[in-house]
Amino acid sequence: MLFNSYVFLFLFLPIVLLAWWVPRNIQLRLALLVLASYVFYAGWDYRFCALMLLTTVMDYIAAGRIARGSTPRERKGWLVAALVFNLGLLAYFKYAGFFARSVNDVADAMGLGSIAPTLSIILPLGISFYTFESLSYTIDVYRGIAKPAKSFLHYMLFISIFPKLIAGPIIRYTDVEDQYAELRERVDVELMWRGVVFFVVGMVKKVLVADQIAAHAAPLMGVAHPGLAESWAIVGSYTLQIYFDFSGYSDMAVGLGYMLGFRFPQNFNRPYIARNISEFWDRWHITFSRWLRDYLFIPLGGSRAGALRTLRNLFLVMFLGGLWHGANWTFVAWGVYHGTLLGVYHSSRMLRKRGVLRAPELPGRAALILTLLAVVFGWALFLSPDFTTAWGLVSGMVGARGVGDASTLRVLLHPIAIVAFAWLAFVPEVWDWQLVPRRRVALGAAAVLVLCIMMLGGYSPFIYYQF
Amino acid sequence: MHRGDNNRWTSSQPPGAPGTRGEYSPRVHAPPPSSPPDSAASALRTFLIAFVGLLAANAAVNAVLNPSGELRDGGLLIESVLSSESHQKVADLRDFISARAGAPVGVVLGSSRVMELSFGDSAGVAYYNCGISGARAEDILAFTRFIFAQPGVHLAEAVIGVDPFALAVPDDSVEYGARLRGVHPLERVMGDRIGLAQRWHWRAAALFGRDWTTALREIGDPPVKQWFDSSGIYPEANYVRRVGTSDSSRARYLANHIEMVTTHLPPSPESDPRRVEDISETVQLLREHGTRVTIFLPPTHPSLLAALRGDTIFRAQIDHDRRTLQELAGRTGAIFVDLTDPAATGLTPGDFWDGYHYTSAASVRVIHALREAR
Repeated sequence: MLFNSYVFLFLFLPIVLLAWWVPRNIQLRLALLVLASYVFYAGWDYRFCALMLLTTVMDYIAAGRIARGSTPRERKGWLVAALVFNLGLLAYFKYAGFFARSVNDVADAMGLGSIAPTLSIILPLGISFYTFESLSYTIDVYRGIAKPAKSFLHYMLFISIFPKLIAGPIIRYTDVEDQYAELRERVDVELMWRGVVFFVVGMVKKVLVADQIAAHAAPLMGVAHPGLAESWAIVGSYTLQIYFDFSGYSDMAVGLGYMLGFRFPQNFNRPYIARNISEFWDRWHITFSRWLRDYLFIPLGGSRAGALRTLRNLFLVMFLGGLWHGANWTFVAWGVYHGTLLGVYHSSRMLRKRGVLRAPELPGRAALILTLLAVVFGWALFLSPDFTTAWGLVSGMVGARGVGDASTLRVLLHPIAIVAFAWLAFVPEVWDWQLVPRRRVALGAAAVLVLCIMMLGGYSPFIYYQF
Repeated sequence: MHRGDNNRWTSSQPPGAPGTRGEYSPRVHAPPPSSPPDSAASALRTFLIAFVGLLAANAAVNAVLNPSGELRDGGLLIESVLSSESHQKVADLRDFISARAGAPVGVVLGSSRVMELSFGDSAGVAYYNCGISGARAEDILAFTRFIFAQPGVHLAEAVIGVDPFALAVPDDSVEYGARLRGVHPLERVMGDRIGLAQRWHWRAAALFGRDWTTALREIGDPPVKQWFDSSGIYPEANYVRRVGTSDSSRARYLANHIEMVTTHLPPSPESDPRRVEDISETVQLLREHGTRVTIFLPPTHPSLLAALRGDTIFRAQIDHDRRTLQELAGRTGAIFVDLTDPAATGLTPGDFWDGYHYTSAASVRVIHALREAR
C-alpha cells in the first residue's frame, strides 16, 4: 500500500486515525495500531507478515534475556544469537540470490559453468529497515543505552508502525519508549496540524515533483549510447528525482507519525547544499548514516584509532552501506565510491591539520559545487542496473561519447525541473518552517493535496521501497 | 518538542553544532509570524472542510463530464478531469445520439489526427467526431462500447484513424503516462496560454540568439486556433490550442514533433497483443451491429515520415500495423486505407499545422480520399 494511493488516502488512513483516536483504552489503541500496521504490510504480501513477526519475537526475547542475563557471557551469547538471526535473515532474503548469481558469473567466466544453485527469493518489503531497527534495539539493550521494552505490544509497534515501516526513517527504541509513556488520550491538534503540513509537503515532493521529473526523464533511460547531453539529462533528472522521492516519503512518514501523536526523526536536511562529502552524509538519509556511525563505524574504532584505521573504517562502513541499499554490485561500487570520497576528504583534513597540506580550503560555493558534482557522479552508479550502463553514463558525462543530442537537456529545463532546482536552492526543509496554524495555509494545503490526488497517475512506488 | 531540540533527531547536539561531523551553513529560519496565528483546531477544521469540499467539487465535475466512467479511469470519480477531454466528448456524444433518437449516425474515432475530419451531414447520416488526444486502441474500444450502450442508437458508419502509437507495446505507456500526467493536465487547463508562452519563449530565444530575422518574423506571427471544430457540433467543448502560422513557427513545431516522436520510438516492432485485441473487438462489435467501417492510417508530415523511415524499428512497426489492420479489415469486411504517405492525398508540408496535425483545409482532401476508398 502506497501513501500516494487512493486506498491509503481514502480508506486506510481515515480508518486508522479513527481506530487510534476514538478508543480510550491505551492497550486497545496500541493493539489496533499494530493490527493496522500489519494490514498495511500485508497489502504488499501477507506471507511476509510472519517473517516480521518472527524477527519481532526473536529480538524481544533476546533483548529480555540480555537485560536479565546474570553473566557477561550469557548476555553476549544472546546478543550474538540476535545478530546472527537478524543478519542471517537479511543475508538469505536479500543477498543469497545475488551471491549465487555472482558465484555463477565468476564460474562461468572461468569456464566452470554454474556451480551455485539459482535462487529466486522474493525480497520482503522493508526488511532492511526493520532489521536495522531491531538490531539497534538489541545492541542498545546490551550496551545499557535502552531498557528492554515494557510490553511486547510496545515492541511490536516499534518494529511495525506503518508510517516508517517500508522505507524509514530508521528509528531506535530509545526514541519511542518515552513517547509511549506520554501517549495522549485525545487528539493533539498541534501535532495533527504539523502532521498535515508535513504530509502535504511530502506528497507535493513525491507526486508533483519527483513523479513528474521521472515521467519526463523515463524516455531517456532507454538511450543505448548516451552522449554528454543525454548522460547529464539522465543523471541530473535522477539527482532531483531521488531527493524529492525519498525526502518526500520521509516527510510523509514523519507527518503520519505526528498525526498519530508520535515524533519520528529528521531524515533529510538539504543534502545538496553540503560543502563536503562528510557534510552530505550528515544531511542525506540522516537516520541511516547515524545508524552506520553508531553501530558500525564507532565499534570498528571510529576515527580515534589512527589515520589508516579511520580510512579503513570509513571504507568498510560505506562498502556495507552500499550493499545495504541493494543486492547489486553497482550499489557496492556506489558505497565504495562514497567511502573513497570520505577517505580523501578526511585525509585532506588530517593533512591540513598537521600542516602537511598547505593549500587553502575551497571557498564555500566552489566546495558546494564540487561536492554536488561528486554526489551526482555517484548517482550514475546508483541508478544503473549494471556496470555497462554505469560506465556508459559516466563516460557520457565526461564527454567521452561526444556531445549527443543536446535537446535532451530540455528535461532539466522543464518548468518542474526548474521549480525543483529553485526548491533545492532556496526552500528550507519543512522541519525549519514556522508551522504556525493559519486558516489560509490550511486552505492552500487542502487545495494542493487535492491537486496531488488529481495527479496520481497509477502505481508509483517510492525509489527506496526496493531496499 | 522532540527531546527539546526542535523535533530533530535525538543527537545530543543538533546537526551543525561545533564538534559534530560536517560543517553546516547557517540555518535558514522562516521569519516570525507577522500576525497572531489561528488556533490549530481551527486551521485543521478549515483544512478538512476545504479538502472534502474540493474533492466533492472534483467528483461532481467528474460525475457531469464522465457519466459513463468508462474512459481511462475505470469509473473512479476522483480521477482527474484534466487528463483528457474524452470525458467531455463522451458526454456530448450521449446528447448527440439521444437528440437523434434512432436516426442513423456516423462517428469518427481516433486521435487528434482525426479531429479535423468533419463529414458533416452526408447522405442523411450526421457525424460526430470522437477524436481525442493520444487515443489508443483501448480508447477507441471504450467509445464504441459506450455508443452501443446508448438506447436507440443506429450507428450507420464508423471511420477509425489508427495512429502508429495506438497499437504500440506497453512500454510506450511510460511515455504516454508521462504526457498524461506531466504535460496534459497543464495543457488542458492552460493550452492556449502554454501555446502563447511557448511562442514567446521561441521569440526570446531567437532574440537572445541574435537571430534577428526569425525574431522579427515571429513577433508578427499570426496565431490560429487548432482543432477549433473537432467535434463537429460543440466547438466550445474541444481542446483548443493557439499555434503560430509563420514558416518559422511551423519549422519549430516540426522539429519539436520529430524530436518527440523519435525520442519515444517504440522499443520493439511488435504491437501490444492486448491493443490488437481491442481494435479487433472494436471492429467486430461495429460489424455485428451492421456498421460500415473504414480503418485508415492518417497522413504523416513528409519530413517526419522521412525521419521515422530511417528507423528500422519504427518502419517495422508501421509495416506490422499495416498488415494487422489489413488482415482485420479483410476478416471483418471493413475497408482499410493507408494514407501514411502524404503523397496519397497530395498533402504538402504547408498542409500541416505543426509537423504532425494537418489543417482543416487539408482534411478535405483526406475526407475525399476516404470517400473514394469507400
